[in-house]
Amino acid sequence: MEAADAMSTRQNISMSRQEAEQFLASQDRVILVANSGDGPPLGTPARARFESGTLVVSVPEADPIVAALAEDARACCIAEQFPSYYEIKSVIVHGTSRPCEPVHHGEASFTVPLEQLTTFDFGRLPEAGEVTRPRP
Amino acid sequence: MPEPDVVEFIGRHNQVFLLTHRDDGWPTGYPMVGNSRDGGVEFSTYRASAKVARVVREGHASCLVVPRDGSGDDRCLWIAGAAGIRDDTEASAARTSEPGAAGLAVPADIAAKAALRMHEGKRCLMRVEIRATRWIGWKPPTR
Repeated sequence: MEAADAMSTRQNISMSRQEAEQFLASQDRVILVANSGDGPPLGTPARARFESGTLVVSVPEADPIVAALAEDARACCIAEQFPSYYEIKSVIVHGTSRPCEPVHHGEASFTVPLEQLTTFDFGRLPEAGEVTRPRP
Repeated sequence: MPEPDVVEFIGRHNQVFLLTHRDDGWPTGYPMVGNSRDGGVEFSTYRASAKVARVVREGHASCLVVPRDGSGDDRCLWIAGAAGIRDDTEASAARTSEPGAAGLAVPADIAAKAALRMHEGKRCLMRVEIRATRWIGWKPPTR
């Protein structure tokens, strides 16, 4: 029930780069993921804005992910909408984070360039057309 | 067993991001539909998928469980623990056909297809045990 399932049937449900950027620009929150030593990754919700081709993400400065990104700048940001099954869209960004001027006091902010993109849009599944296509 | 509030939260929210590492060591995440089960979180997925190979290789994973917008919940939950796949196919197939937690409604034809693929062994249940937890505020500050 996730993107890989849809992709496993060899259906192309990815977005174009332009569509992905438009989707990112419409989002104000992403899931920020970072490495944490030898353990599994840390993940936290982050306020986000997309400008000039780069994501700017902000989290409380006390969040453990701030120290994790200082140790290993590799970041993953997941933007997703989830209103219904066939309206699921997601853009997953991998990029090397850089600290930047905090957007708000008490926050830590990072830029994350779109070095690699993974996208999917369940509205492109053939079954979605049967559900969403207007009846004559 | 995890704390009751942890179990209750995961039981109410099935929007889960499975977090692991790519083969090159980068952190990565997968938006999934998760279900709370016996002190863990379970996902139905294709056995041959990259995420299964990665989680099995590492033997552990983490997840971020998030509330749906409008649910009234103002926090999300990070969990971590041992992870792997379950090979009790019959039980897995039965579980796949069960209704999910409140939240995303998976269309009946999609759920039926997933149950069939589970029975055929093409799909499997991946499970993350809940050994570490951290509550995180969900509503970010306003822009």
